[in-house]
Amino acid sequence: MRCLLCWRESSSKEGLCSYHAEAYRSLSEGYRRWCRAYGEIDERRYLERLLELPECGEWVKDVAKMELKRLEEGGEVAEKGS
Amino acid sequence: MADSSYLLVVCEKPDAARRVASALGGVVRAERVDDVVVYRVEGDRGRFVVCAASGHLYTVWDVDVKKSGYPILDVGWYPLHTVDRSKKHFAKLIKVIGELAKGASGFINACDYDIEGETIGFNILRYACGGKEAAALRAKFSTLTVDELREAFAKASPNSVNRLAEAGRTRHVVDFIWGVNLTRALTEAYSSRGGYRTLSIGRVQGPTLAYIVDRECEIRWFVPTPYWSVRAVLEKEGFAFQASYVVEKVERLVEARAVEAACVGKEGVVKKVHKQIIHQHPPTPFNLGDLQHEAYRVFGFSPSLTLKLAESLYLKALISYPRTSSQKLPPSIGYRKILSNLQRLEQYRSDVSELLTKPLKPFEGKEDDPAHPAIYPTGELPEGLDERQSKLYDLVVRRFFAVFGDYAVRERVTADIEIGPYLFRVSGRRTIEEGWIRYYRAYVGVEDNPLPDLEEGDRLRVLSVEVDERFEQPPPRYNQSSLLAKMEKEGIGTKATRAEIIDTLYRRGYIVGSSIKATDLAFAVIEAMKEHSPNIISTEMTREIERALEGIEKGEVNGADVIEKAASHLLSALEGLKAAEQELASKVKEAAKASLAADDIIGECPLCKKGQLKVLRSKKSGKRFVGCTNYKGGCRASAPLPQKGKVRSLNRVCKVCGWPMISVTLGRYPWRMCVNPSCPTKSRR
Repeated sequence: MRCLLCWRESSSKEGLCSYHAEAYRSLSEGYRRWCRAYGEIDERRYLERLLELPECGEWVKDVAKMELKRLEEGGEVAEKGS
Repeated sequence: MADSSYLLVVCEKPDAARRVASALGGVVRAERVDDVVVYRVEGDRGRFVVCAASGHLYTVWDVDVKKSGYPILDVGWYPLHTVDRSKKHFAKLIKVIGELAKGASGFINACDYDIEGETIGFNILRYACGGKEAAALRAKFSTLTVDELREAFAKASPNSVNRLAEAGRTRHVVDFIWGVNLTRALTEAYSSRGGYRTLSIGRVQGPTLAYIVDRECEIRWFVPTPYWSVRAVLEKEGFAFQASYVVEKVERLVEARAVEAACVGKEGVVKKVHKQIIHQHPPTPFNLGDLQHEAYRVFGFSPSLTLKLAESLYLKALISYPRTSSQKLPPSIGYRKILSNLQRLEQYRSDVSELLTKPLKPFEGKEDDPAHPAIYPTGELPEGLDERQSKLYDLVVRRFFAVFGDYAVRERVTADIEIGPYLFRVSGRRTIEEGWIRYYRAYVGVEDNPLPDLEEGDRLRVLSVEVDERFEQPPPRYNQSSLLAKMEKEGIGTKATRAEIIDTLYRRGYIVGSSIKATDLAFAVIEAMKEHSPNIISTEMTREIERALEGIEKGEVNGADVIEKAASHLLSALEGLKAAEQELASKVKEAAKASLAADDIIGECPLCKKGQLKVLRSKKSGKRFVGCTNYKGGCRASAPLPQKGKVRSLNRVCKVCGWPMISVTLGRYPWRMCVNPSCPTKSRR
């Protein structure tokens, strides 16, 4: 099966390749750091801000876009902040 | 052609041969023999015929040229023109040298004195001259100036145990068997599922590419973490300056706001002032790596361009031999004589006059090179240099001046200022004595930021307190200079080959951009290697072979043992690749396809912001143009493109209209343009 975000083979339960799966982990860990730093931050806001930041990694942005789309479609953002 | 009792002098390049011939003095006659220029010299020093190679005339190649597949371990040395059609003119060169050798009473190897020069000279003497490598004399020099060449020829001595040549020839064999076998393994794997593409990876290329891919992963996985800095603008007697809260990174917004709230409206009190005098030593003389880093920093020259320019200056006898590791300048080069000669140039006159008034002792670095000193100007006056040569020459000259300069003396003042319950800090610097900086000012960014005269107990007005939101930065991408530094630090490649290896990675499509980015193809190749044959990209193993090669120069090991060891590492690596051929083929193929598709993407669509602008071809006219990938979603962004030349994204947008910028290469030089046909920058012209 293909990665949901690129041409590589998926290797994770989220349907992502190893690179995007690692980016997903970074995104989740990053959210915990952001919550601590800001006191509180909405998941949507976190993802939107990341997409605006030039420092944010390309694969992380791919995953952030996917998660944002899921949020817009009314889905849950898997495991964030858990 | 027989000509009795002359010494045949073998040089590495035609320019060097011309300089050597004229330095030998007497009557010099340039003569064309079968389209090859040779110099006949007759004078007090004897009779010479000086000929030149054109770099390597011989190369390592597979003994069985018809054999396909791998492994290939049976290799030998062959004339380059027999395996590379573009070098067919070398056939005449080898024939002429061979004919001249028949009439020679002796031989002098006057190629550059380093591992490559030694290999070039050794091979010519052995193969073209009929086994004269042990009998030949060696002329060793670091500049092509008349005085030094004459001295080198007067002191030329036999070189029967030539470890440098053995090390050079071994390096060529090891690199060939690694390169050819891995290239064949990768290419065959790729072709095993149909299609053809040459994929290569070399002994030093592998680990170098792995550094770039690893760094690229770190960057692409990076999530910036926020932090805050708090700064206060303070004033003393009309002099405003800025101080920062001593905790440089405040990790929580609430803490930063608490500091701000507690400081607003308060007065600053100077608690401590610390003054320190710093003696800043001069820079060390340039070795090749240092010159490449500095030329990249100040001019943006790539390491390979710097090497090329430096070699051209060496061949004009303007600077000493550039392929050196040394950061030392021995007194024997004649500091005063060089400086006095340079004094004849208007732009250096006042600096030289000042330097000549004091004792000259260079500030040297730790690195040494048994064959050559650091790079220095010879004192010969430059003529007919192009802009880039002039820039590099000036850098070498001014650096040479700077190493003789005095220490620069600077004062650093640090003050701790209490505002409310919090401590802020400010630092200022000023130059007391310029020292060496005055000679190198054009290339060194030393700026003063003086503070008002602060004393303990001073009460300062706080003009404002501000909180800045900041984000942690990802590690920087390598550029050519920092990648070269990484290779140096890891001890892979040689000073002469590192720049070329970086160029090869660009040519193979593994890396792009000046801020180096790994392509999908690079990811696929490195991924496959890590999984199936990690030794190929292992720094440790590459370094081990590198050390063994250095051991040959020192006489600790012999070439045959090193080749055997390298071949055994290679064979185990190849086994891993063979076993994973199918998997490797599919991964690399998909990556190659993705890489090609990615090449056509030139940037985000500025109109719909959802799609990407891509190079497309019209089905009707066959002409290429730019269109949006979100066409089906209704975006009609499009733009014409030049129909000839290679189009490449510059990975940035036009500052005026926001459309992507591209470069178009047609002929030698690329030009840059915004793809937007209605961009105001176009109507201005």
